[in-house]
Amino acid sequence: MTDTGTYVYAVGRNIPADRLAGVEGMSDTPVRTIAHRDLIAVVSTVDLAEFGEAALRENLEDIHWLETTARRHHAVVRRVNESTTAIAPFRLVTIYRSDDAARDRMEELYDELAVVLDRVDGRGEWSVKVYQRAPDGPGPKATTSAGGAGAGVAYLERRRAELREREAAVAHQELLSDELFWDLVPGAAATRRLVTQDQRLSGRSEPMTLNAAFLVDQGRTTEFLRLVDDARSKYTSLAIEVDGPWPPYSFAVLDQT
Amino acid sequence: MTLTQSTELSTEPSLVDLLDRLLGKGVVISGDVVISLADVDLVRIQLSAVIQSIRSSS
Repeated sequence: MTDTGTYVYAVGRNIPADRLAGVEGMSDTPVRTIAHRDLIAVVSTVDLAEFGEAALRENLEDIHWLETTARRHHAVVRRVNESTTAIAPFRLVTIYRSDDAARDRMEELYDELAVVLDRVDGRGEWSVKVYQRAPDGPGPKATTSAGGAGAGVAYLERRRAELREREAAVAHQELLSDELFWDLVPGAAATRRLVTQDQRLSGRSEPMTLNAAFLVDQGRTTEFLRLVDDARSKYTSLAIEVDGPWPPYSFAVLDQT
Repeated sequence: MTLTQSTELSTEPSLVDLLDRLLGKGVVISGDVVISLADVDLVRIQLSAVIQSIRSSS
């Protein structure tokens, strides 16, 4: 018999089992539920040859494995999210030795999970990413002065001034992004700022100046999006990307490390 | 102006956006992922190699 573990996708309340019929988790194994008090964990069985500690060390460094796993995790969490109002998604690859071990953990985390589920109940996560808009066209052309004795010095001074201006511009856009964040706060029940994505990761030519998550009451979504639109008109030098509702990933954090 | 046309996440999010959330603390260049295994075992795994591959595949 192969060694197996219990992979936990999310814990929630009032998850009707029939809503998860046909949902497949890791390695196309059907998901099932584990009930403990009023909590329900959505789990599936995984082979420890692939999901055990040693295998994970290698697999997590394999981008294709990571992507497949992340997308499957997200697909399951999304289905659970559609079936109920209160879920706490678990971090990628949270695996227990057995269902009993998962249940023990639910008991151990019960109070924290209850707080998280109360917080996210009936709310969705909205992502707001802000980029510094690329200036229209190429910047002011550096006038090419005719050569001569002072030309080299003048060039260096011009370059220095340009660099100073650029730095000041970046600092200014960061300040504006911060203001923008605070303009949106009244529309949300909770907020979290994520690390801005490095340009090499975002693949954008403009730097990201804000990466924020907003937990928004379902009934207040329109109001929140209106605040985003107001911000679009107000901060014309910034490009705002909003998407959601996501399952409340950023607001279900149980950090105990 | 009409209300924001928000993408209802009908399209698949990018891997970076996904990992931003699934790893719990954002994707940081050369950060760690904390994996909870077994009961309380925590294994720290270097994410740098992953990030490298994201970078080179884009």
